[in-house]
Amino acid sequence: MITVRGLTKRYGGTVAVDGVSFDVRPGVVTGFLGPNGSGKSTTMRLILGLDRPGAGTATVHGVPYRELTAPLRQVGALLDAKAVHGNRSARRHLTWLARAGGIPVRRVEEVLDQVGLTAAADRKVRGYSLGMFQRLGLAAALLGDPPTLLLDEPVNGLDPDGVRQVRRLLLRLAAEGRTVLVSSHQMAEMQETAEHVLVIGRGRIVADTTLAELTREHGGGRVLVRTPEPERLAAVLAGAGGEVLPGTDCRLDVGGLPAAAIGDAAAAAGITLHELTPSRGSLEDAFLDLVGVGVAA
Amino acid sequence: MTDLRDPGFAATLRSEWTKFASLRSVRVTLGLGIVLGIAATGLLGWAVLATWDEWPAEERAAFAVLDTAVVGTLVTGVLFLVLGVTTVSSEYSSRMAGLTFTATPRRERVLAAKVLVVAAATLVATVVAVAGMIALALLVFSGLDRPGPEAGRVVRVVLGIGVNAALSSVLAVSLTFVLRSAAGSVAALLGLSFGPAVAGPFLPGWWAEHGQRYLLGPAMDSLTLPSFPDSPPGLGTGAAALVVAAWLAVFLAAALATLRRRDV
Ligand SMILES: Nc1ncnc2c1ncn2[C@@H]1O[C@H](COP(=O)(O)OP(=O)(O)OP(=O)(O)O)[C@@H](O)[C@H]1O
Ligand SMILES: [Mg+2]
Repeated sequence: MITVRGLTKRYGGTVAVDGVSFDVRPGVVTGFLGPNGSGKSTTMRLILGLDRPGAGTATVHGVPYRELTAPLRQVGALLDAKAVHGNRSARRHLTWLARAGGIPVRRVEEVLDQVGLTAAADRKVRGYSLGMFQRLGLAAALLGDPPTLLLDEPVNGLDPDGVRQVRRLLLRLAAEGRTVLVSSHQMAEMQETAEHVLVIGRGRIVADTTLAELTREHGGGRVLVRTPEPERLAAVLAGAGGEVLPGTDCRLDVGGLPAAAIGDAAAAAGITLHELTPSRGSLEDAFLDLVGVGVAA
Repeated sequence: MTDLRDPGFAATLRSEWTKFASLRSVRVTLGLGIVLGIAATGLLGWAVLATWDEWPAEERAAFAVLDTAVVGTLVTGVLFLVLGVTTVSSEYSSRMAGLTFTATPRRERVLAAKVLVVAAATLVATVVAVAGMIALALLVFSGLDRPGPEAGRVVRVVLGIGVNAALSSVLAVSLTFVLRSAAGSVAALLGLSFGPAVAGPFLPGWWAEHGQRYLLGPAMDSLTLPSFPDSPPGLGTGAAALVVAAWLAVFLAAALATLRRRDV
């Protein structure tokens, strides 16, 4: 459980985080979404007690981070994966971290294996690729087997297989009852993992809701449909009040009708559907609708 | 279930030791300091031997083996000071400090652990280096008919220089937590070490007589190396200890205040 109340941080003239309040609950993945420079990383640094807030409070398990008795066993964080000393090996890096947290050093081997870095564990990290740094950062976050995780753009730089592994990992961690806060500047990235979303724009929380609710309220509500009988379905959906744009390869792009209504209408008319997908574009529309376009000044 | 027991200061100390010992550059600097320090003494010894026949009688009479032997500490001193500085500054240049303070949010523990690790390593390496310098000097100068230093004085000098270097490293670590930059910190430390000697002649006489001894460098010399080498009158051991403790407390307090207040 993470609790943030009225958190404010300015750097010189820039207000990075502006009176932010939210709770992150255990058991689900909470997506922390916002465009570049919207204040996601700053909020996480404030939660971790790395930066001092101008106003407001942040607590983890009811306690300010700086007062946690066993921080690494209570919270796992990935902030800046490349912020490691280039001349240490991954194994040595994780070893000092384990020692600092009072974590048995054998956990180092477990997390190295978990993120797929065992083979490269004795190489100096200065030669690592971005994805390898990211894996090392994840290993560091998992080291203390913590009930709360804060991950700042964890899939940044990962290959498709890595992205899928992280998605599965996040879902598993949440299913185990942990509190999982994951930031991203891409809505689509959150689509398959986040159940709850916090959207931040220019330092302010502009939405604190479920992903489903968010798409319903703000998305253009476009749905992609594929069927062997596109002309007939187009007519049926137009009759039901849908706005239908024909696409290639037996596809239709439907607006004005939720996915469920489209499926029902097709079934009633005896039309087979091969695909029925609320379009990814609509999630991105919801996001842009909320936070506007471009980087805050 | 999550184990909420505080891993304690011992965990931070072991962690900082692991960080320190796992860098090849640290091991190289320590080893190189010892070798180059002894080599500097050897070089001076060779120069003395080569010219000894031309030395006037009174200079031969004044020649002290021990004073000449420890000339290599100029080299070890600077190298180990830079080591202390980079141990802290590299945390900031690599941005790893964020992880360090996430793992150990209690700033005073990180400060104390870094100070202890660096000071202990500096003490041991300096003692080894100085012992080596003196052994080499005794060997090189054995042919000259100069009296060798008495054993008790040798031990006091070796330990004195070691403690002196360790206390300097406390200064280096604290100052770098305040300044966060290797270049800035090294410049400030060199200024502190050599500034008074450079500025001294331009200051009024009462300063050299009454003020200078309260500066950190001279006070540290009075504490660890009484009457070595022939220096202007310093403080007694007790007073020197108090003055040194006060100076170090100021630097440590400044480091802690910076760590607690400033963003990482
Ligand atoms: N240390 C700092 N000094 C000055 N300004 C800062 C600092 N850290 C962040 N900022 C500013 O605060 C604002 C928020 O930055 P932050 O890094 O929190 O954004 P973000 O949401 O994480 O962006 P991204 O998606 O690009 O990672 C930006 O305008 C940034 O320039
Ligand atoms: Mg960021």
